Amino acid sequence: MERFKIEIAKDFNDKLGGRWIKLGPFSGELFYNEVLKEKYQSAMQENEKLHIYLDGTKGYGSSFLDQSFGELSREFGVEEVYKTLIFHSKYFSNSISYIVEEIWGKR
Amino acid sequence: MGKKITFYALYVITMLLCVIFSRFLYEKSWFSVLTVSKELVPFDVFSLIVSSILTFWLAWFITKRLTEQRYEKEYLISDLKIIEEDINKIEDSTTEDESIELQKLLNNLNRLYSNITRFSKTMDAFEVQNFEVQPLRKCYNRLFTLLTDVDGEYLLINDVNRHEINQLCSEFVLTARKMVFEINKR
Repeated sequence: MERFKIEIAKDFNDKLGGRWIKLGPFSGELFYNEVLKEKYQSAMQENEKLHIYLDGTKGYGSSFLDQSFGELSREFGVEEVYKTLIFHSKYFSNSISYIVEEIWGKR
Repeated sequence: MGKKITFYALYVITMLLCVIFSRFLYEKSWFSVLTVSKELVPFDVFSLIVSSILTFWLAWFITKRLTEQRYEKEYLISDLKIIEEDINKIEDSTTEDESIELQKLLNNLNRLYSNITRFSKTMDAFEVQNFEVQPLRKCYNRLFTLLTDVDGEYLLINDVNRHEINQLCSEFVLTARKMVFEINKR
């Protein structure tokens, strides 16, 4: 049973925007502020993993990924975030690779 | 080209020298010391049958293997051509307008990534050795970053990033073509 999870398409939106709140809806900044950060902190407090489900959306831009998952690693540290988050996706393995390899620098 | 002509010229000269030398030996009756037995023994028949069977089997095996290799190469090359077409479509979409919706770019990039993954899995299925798909993935990541690093919902195209996009797409296409040449040479 996953106590802490985010299904981005259901918990946020299926059509995602760019980087900043002021420049468009459903941005990475909004996702980080309203969904990701809070859930991450809750999972950390309970010493649990946070499961992220990527499927169901229309795709992820690099700016969205950087302003959400990148910002999370900048605030809380790459190692901690890398240990805590577990990604699930059938259709967006490229986005997962991008986050882990390009944004977090884990190769 | 020059090397090929030299090779063929040497080949012809060598054959001519062999013919002339054989003729010389014949004139000097050197071949008269050689005798050929005209008696046929059962072992000769058996040996002839076995040699024939082996020759046919070898010819069949080599032809089959060459045909299989040809099919594998054709599949891989056609996958790479599809990847090249996807890259060209993405590049063309950035030359048409001055702003492109992020979602449209993501649709095209997702398709491109799927085709790269398909190519990679086909390579695994054919057990192709010593061949890296990583250069394609690196090019993809660079293009993905350039095209989707947008602050809002649209990618704005100007002369600076249009040039960068063109250059990146060219490198991507060249990487795919190098793979085509490499596969064809195997």
